[in-house]
Amino acid sequence: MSDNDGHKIIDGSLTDILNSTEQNIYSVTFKNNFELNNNSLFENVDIIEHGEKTIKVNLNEIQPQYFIKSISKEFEITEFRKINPSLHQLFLNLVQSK
Amino acid sequence: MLEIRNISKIFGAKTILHNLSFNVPKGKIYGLIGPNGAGKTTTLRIILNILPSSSGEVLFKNKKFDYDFLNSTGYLPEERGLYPKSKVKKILTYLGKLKGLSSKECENKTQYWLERLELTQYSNYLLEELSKGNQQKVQFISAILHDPEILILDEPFSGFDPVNQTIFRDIVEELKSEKYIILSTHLMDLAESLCDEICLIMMAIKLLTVL
Repeated sequence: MSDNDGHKIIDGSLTDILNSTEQNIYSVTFKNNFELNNNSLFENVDIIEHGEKTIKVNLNEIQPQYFIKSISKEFEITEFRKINPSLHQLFLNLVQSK
Repeated sequence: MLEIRNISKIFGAKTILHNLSFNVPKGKIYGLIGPNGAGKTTTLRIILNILPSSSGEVLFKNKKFDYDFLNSTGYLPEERGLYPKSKVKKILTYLGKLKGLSSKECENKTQYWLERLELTQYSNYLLEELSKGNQQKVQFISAILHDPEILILDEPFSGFDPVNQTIFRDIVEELKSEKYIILSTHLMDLAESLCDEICLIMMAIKLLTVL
């Protein structure tokens, strides 16, 4: 026999919920075209999207300050921005983790 | 404040909702979201007294939310329920009167909303002669015609094309300052752009094994 047992997972201000979601994903834009070329600076991160000048990267356990410091030695960065999950992504994460 | 306190719903041996609580503040759009079968529509029906809860209570302005408040409530159900053989203007006038409006108020407000939603030309059409999107608009008008303080919208965007979704979204935004609005939807992009607060409910499937 099955039970739906619908219950509350999360509630509150949508902005606060999205801001508080732990996700170490950043968008990085470089001045010039970006080529990875087996660069060791990116060994412990996951590049999720790779455009000509912009990448989206999951830093996993690496602190963003450390990452910027490391890559700025080789690349000129024009933008570095934290990506918060969308409600769609949050919904998928919560549903799939159950 | 509209307060939902510890509501549970049990149908026979099946628990549909378990101890659900949340508060809906005035002037905000409150999103009730969750996967299919999580109990969103059941929650809305309990708030509206369409279904009794097995336990818990719903309070509005610190009073038990009962039938006395129904004229303060507008409901757009997920399953559209207006009579298909009714004429648009006639059914809206009828429903407005049921919600306590005078004939004159019904006439004026119906006219306003039909114009606002570009339905004036269909005033004397039967509902079944309208497209799904236009039927949806009429149903939406029936929910807001009496200017309810509480507005409950269950999957309000279904049947709307992107243009009408935008019109609808603008109207809901416009209405929200003086209302308590609960919106249930599966469309996360729209929920994210519209809702100020959300409650995500989810089912916990329990399998009972008989040894």
